[in-house]
Amino acid sequence: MNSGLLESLEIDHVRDYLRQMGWRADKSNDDREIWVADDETRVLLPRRRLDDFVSLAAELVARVAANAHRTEDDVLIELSWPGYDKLTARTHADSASPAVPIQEAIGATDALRDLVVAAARASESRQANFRGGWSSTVGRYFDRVQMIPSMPGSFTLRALLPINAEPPEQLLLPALDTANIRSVTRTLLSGVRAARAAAEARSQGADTNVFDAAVSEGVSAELLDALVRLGGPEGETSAVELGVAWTYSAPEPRSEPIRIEPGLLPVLAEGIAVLRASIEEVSAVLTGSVTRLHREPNIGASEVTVQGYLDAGAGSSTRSMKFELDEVSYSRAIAAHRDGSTVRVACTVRFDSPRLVVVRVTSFELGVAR
Amino acid sequence: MTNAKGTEGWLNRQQGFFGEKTLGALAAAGGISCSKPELDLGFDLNLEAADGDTARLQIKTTRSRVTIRDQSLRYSLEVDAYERLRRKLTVPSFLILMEVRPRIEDWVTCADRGFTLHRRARYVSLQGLPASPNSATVTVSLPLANMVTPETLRRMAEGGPT
Repeated sequence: MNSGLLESLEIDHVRDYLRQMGWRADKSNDDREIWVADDETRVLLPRRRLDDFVSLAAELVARVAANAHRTEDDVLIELSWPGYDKLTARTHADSASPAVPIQEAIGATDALRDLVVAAARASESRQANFRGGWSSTVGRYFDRVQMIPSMPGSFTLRALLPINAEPPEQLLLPALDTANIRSVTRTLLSGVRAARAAAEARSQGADTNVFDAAVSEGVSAELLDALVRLGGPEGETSAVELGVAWTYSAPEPRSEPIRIEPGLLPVLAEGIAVLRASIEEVSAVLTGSVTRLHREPNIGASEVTVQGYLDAGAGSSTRSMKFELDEVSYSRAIAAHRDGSTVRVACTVRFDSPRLVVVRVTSFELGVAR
Repeated sequence: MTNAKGTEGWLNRQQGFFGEKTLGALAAAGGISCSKPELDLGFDLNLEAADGDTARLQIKTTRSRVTIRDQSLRYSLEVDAYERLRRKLTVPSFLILMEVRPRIEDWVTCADRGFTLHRRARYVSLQGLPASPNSATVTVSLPLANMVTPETLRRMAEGGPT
């Protein structure tokens, strides 16, 4: 168990947690309280931070986790962040292996970040797509989102989403009115559900207007784009599963995980184009590293893949993009790949089904070698 | 290979293991549970009473003859263990000293009428004692009257005796 987290546990939060989970206080003195579960399991909650606080907290967490049939890490995270709901995004949902290539892991993390940002922006104002930078409200919210370690045995991204604007210690536990909190999390869930429903309807012959109709539920081009990227690189897509576990400090009925099958991802990608119809082509700058070179010996098109940060008129994101280069630029790309140099690619991009594509490259410059 | 069978290291490990298991048996006979701590803070065992109260035990075993003075066993305890035991903690902590016979073959006798564990143990609480200026060991006293029994282990877990 993480002793740093154990050391920083707030005694009041632990007490509230036990109460919420149905434990009852049995007896206490100045130093400790004894709590009892329905099955007569007992835990000792220290009331003072003496030298054995961490040890006793570890024993408490271990016992509570065993009692609830949960992992110790899970319980410890919940106790440590009472003001946060826990979002899980499982990529490669059907894969037996918990390992994924590093580039995919980076891409999935970026996609999850963009999914949260898209939900935060939609919770502020429902729009088909978002141009320009974020508002300060979205920025403040985003600054408080935390990533936590994956779960054992799976490649699952986990993020902690703050349930309201106040820091957790200001929450009025446990008498919190859940009606006016977690607007971003609610928008994220309603947006993802609506996106899946729209894609299912579209794949069964509905008009593309289904995507426009879903905007009121929190769907945006950015949210769809993030979902498509969570599914993995083109040609290697897999099912995505998203779920939220409500914090104990503001419990609600369990929210069922939302699963998006790989067959729906191209349909969601079509939805991106629909919602970005008004901005088909935009100028962009991609700054990053050459990760692949593609050329048949002596003939054929010269293509490169650059993984980096795309700054486009309609927003910014981290992406892996493949595009053609002329001979001179391709030579630079070879050098950049060899030296590990950063490249700066000025280009025009189009939000085209199924993905964002580079239409033309205006300039390809070498940056600094690493 | 200091831990190879028959060596001093191996024998020390065996006597420590035997000491912990003996205390586990006494605790069970006292109606309390006995387990290894979740985090290693230097204590060897946790005692837990049925009502949820607990105590920490630091166990020392010795095959050497222990000096008796003023009706107490005199034992040289490492300074770091002394410092750990004298701290004010949420739950009570105790030092237990177990004496065992020099030869491992003599630790247990098995007969028709039952087992006999040839060892004896005394306990003491050092909580609240002053810090020691010593750098290596501190001599502590364990009253002969403080015999470890199932009943005393149960009372330790319930918050006394001290």
